[in-house]
Amino acid sequence: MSAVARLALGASLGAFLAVLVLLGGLGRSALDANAVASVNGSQLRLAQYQRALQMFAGEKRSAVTAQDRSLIVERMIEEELLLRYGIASGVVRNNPTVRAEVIRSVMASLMTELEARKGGETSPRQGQDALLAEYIGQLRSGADIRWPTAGAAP
Amino acid sequence: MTVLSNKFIANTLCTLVAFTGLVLALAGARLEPAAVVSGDALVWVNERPITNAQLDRAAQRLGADGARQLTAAERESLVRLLIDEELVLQRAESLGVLQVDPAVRKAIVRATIDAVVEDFLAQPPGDQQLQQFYRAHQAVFERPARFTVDALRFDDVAAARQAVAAVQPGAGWAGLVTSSAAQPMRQLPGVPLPAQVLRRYLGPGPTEIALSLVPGEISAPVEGAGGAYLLRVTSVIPAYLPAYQDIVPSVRQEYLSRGRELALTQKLARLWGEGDVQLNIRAAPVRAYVGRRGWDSG
Repeated sequence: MSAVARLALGASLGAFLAVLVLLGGLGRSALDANAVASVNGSQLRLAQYQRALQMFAGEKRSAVTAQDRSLIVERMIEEELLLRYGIASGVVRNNPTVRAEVIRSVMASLMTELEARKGGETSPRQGQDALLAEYIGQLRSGADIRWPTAGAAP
Repeated sequence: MTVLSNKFIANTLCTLVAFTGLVLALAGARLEPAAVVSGDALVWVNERPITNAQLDRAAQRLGADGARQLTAAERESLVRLLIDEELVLQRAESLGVLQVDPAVRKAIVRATIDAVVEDFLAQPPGDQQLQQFYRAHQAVFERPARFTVDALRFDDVAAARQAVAAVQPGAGWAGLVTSSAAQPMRQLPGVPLPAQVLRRYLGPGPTEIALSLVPGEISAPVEGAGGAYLLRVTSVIPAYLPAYQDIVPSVRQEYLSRGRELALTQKLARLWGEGDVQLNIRAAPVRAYVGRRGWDSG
């Protein structure tokens, strides 16, 4: 194969991949059998739908209708759409309540880990502080932290 | 020379196309997590900026008016805290906490809805939007039909029948009013009233009868609360829709009071339209249904 032919093949392949990626063809995952729907590739689980359906049925006096089921799926989809939109529009960093809730969630799982790992070796407070310091230290050491201007770091 | 030149052009073109393909592929792969372009960055943490605005907000959370009020040492610790928070947030993202933790999901969705509504209400509606809203919600602005009703109350249906029988032919309502058994309903104002207000005065049964009368017609005795009634409608003002120009302030007020629902409906319609939503009909037996967002699972 000549150099030109190889180049042309590469170009075609590059352009084809570009079109696929731009149209979202590669990012689009097939719908799982255990999912009721997918929203921009994120699967909404059947178990989640069934829980919502049970809660709805528990509050409703008459039988659940097909329209009720459709509305439950619709609400799940809308929640996912809003969730994704919120994340993309910066709510996690710019809204203090969300920011605090996310940090609380990570810290809570960290504390659970602490309890599992250290048992009663140290006092809870000492253990928490040490683990938090260790955790943040690990995150910092693996991070790429750059100051826009030289000498700007505090 | 010409052959060489053609070869050179062909090679250059191929290289350009390959390069363009590569650039497009790379650009496409990075479309979603587009980096925030900001000249306001204090520090970049794994390619994410921590901005002066974030520092100001953090300072405000601590009770200061803004970062300018902080001493150098306070500012330094606050920036370090923001860096640590950013690292934790990034960790949360990589662990999928934003999608998985129900409390976090709830907080994000609630904050998103609030932001959508706030954005919506921050923009005063234009005349075109108000007109669209008016056309789409005509039932809200329609003035209902109004009826002027006279009513006489009797102890029971028999007393009402006796009064009707005793009235001289041609004496009509005036003759009934003079009947000794008749008790005029003085609390009923002699002005045009909509059906729902009439129901409060007369009760549902007599009101339905009153609404079926033509002006001047006297009803048969009707049983109602506390006895029987004879009813007469003296005038009917039909329902009508005021022209948009005549009720612009009311339309604007209604538009704003429904802002939350409207803002959400519009935003969700856009997100549905732009998103890739697939339904699994086998897993969830969702019957073919075209909802208000216009999707069809069938």
